Amino acid sequence: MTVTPALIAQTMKTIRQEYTETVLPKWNPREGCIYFEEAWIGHKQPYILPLVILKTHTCRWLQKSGGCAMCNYQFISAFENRINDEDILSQARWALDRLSPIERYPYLHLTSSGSFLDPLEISDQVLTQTLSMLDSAGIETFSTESRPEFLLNIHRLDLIKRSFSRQVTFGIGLESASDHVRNYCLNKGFDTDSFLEAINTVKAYGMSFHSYILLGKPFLSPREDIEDVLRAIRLTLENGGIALVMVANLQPHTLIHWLWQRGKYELPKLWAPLKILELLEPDERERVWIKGLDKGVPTADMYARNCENCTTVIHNALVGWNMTADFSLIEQVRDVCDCRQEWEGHLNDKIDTTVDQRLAQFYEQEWPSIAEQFTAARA
Amino acid sequence: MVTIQIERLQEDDVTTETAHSLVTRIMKTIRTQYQSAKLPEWNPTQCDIYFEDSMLPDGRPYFLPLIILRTKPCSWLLRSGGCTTCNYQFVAALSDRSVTDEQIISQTKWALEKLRPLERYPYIHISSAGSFLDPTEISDQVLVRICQLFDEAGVQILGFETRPEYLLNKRRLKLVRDGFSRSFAVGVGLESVNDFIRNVCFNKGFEIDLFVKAVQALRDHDMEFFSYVLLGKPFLTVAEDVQDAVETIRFSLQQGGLALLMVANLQEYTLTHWLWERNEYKLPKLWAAIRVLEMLEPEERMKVAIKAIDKAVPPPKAFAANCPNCTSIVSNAIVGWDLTGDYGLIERVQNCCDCKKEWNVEFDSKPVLPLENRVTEALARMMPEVLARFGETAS
Repeated sequence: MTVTPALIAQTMKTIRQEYTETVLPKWNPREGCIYFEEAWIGHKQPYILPLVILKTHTCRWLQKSGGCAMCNYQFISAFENRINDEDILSQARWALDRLSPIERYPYLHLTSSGSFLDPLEISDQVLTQTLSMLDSAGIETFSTESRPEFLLNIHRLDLIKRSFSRQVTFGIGLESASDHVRNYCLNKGFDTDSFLEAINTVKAYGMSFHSYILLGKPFLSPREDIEDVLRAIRLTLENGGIALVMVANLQPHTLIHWLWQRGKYELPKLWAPLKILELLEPDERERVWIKGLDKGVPTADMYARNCENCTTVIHNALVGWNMTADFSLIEQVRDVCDCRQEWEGHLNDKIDTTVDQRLAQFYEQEWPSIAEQFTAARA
Repeated sequence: MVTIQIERLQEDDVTTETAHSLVTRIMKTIRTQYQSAKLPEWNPTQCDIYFEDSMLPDGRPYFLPLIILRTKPCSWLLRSGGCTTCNYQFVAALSDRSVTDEQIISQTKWALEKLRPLERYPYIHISSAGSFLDPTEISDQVLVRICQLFDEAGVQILGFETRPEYLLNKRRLKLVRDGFSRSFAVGVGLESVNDFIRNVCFNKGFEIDLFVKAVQALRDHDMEFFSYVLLGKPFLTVAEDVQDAVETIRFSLQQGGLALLMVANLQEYTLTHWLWERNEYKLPKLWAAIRVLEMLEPEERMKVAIKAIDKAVPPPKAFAANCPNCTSIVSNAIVGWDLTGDYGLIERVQNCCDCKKEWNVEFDSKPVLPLENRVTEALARMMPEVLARFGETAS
């Protein structure tokens, strides 16, 4: 069976159809979402970074293609609810008010339900007014996220530059350095070339970027997964960015959740991000954060873990890493539990299929029932 | 000790003077459940090791290994039913289990082997199932051998914990001092600076004078100490609990020690568990721990770490938490505080969630009766029920 982007998109859309039967979160168009991530800023000063997520129109890529294999972010978006510019601006004001005194937060991440630079989500007017607001509030670094295609729109970059006078950084979901893995395993829908073009445009504007790189990709073995993440980190760092390893968590209405329910997917162990830090050179790992461990929007059904005995200590070591970049924390816990040996053993398991064969096998087995659901829903 | 006629107990019979013997009686009765409890797997030549988010004296973030030896249970538990939140002795040689000197030394060697390469761990904490200096748990011979093993391993700071009365035994203290040539950090469970709260709400069984004498003995032997201070004491209001923790921390610091704020978690076979099952006890919110840090002066809070929010031995039924939206945010900020001592982390989460407002209301609510009356009333109410539930097996 030939696995095509159209086939993947139809599968994703079918899985997403569950949405229509789901009770959506309480809807208040005048309030956004806020949560906080552990980080460090400046000269490795520990920091808690506020993330503001505005409720906007749903991610365009989700609507077109069913969206990415692990993402449920748009669950907080407007869906069929109406949302207007004034609502979105109210959300931004509400967030700044909630974070008061804002001087505590020199680095602020603020984004929309999909891509902050997609004009369908954030209009020119909202873009300039929100950024002027952040500028007046004295924010030192404004961080946001966008799919790469929207970063090529220099009109929008000009608007940002004019409205916000300090540092800007864009988070881009690179996920993998391999076009094949990114698009066939994750349904991400863009090539490395688009990514490179986007970051070159951003850099030409004196702005920075960071990549999101998924750990816990479907259809990859744990070993392939780690190797894939390392390549994506290195591609990011070589191009002057920083890397956030997003440890997969289980969100309902996603492909990985669907696979997991059928015993065909497991979340990665916490040993995997730890090993990634070990495998990087010291000057590389300094620019890598490990995320997605214990919180997300919307709240996940399940997070990556180790065994009962060592989940907390390894989790806290990764949290400590994110706040200090002190590698001795990782060295102190890297062998605290016997379950690591077992996990390492499985990394060497012989696998006799390629990613392509696994994808083909999956769609051969599952496509008939997915197609049936798809048709039934259309009818 | 004052005797009470349990069968004809009236609320008026329970006074602040008799309350202590009553709580002891209740604790001993509750602990009779041990006899039917399913004990953890038992291997007397291995022990428990876990790791605490911590800092080295020079300020570097550090995972402090804690070795918990399987020894005879805490003598205070056997005599009095033990402290009202503690289930530590569940890892000990309870019921028909036994452990020999040789086995305890094997446990220590096993732990040191597990922690290799030891250069990573300049500071190691070792404890027994109760008090490391209690001779019924750790004999003279074992005490000396353990100290030597750590000395030979090149450990820079050796931590252990003990009830204060054992620190008055100069001979034992000297054995330890002579057996290990570098620094000590000794943990003492002060819990509260208030004798009534410590002994009645917590059944701790020592007066503040004894604690003062004990830490003086440590100073005389050039040994550092830290106090365990419980947050989440039964019978106290949220505000009383926070205030008591702050006062206790200050007392500990004035005595020249550090303080570990132990956020209560829910252990089975304890008084707090009994009360919790009846909706008369709630674990503290993480906000309470944050408030304690807020109330301390900057130079005070630098000497305070917040513990037990996510791991404990044995694994508890529940840990303190906030609402689902902010628990991991606030918990991670506390982990960050323990690893770095950077107060900015706490400031950035101190009003990160609307549930803080609800907690503030709870914090501001005033009790109708003074604490002593509430405790004596509660104990008088509990006693017949505890006896009826578990029978008068404790004498």
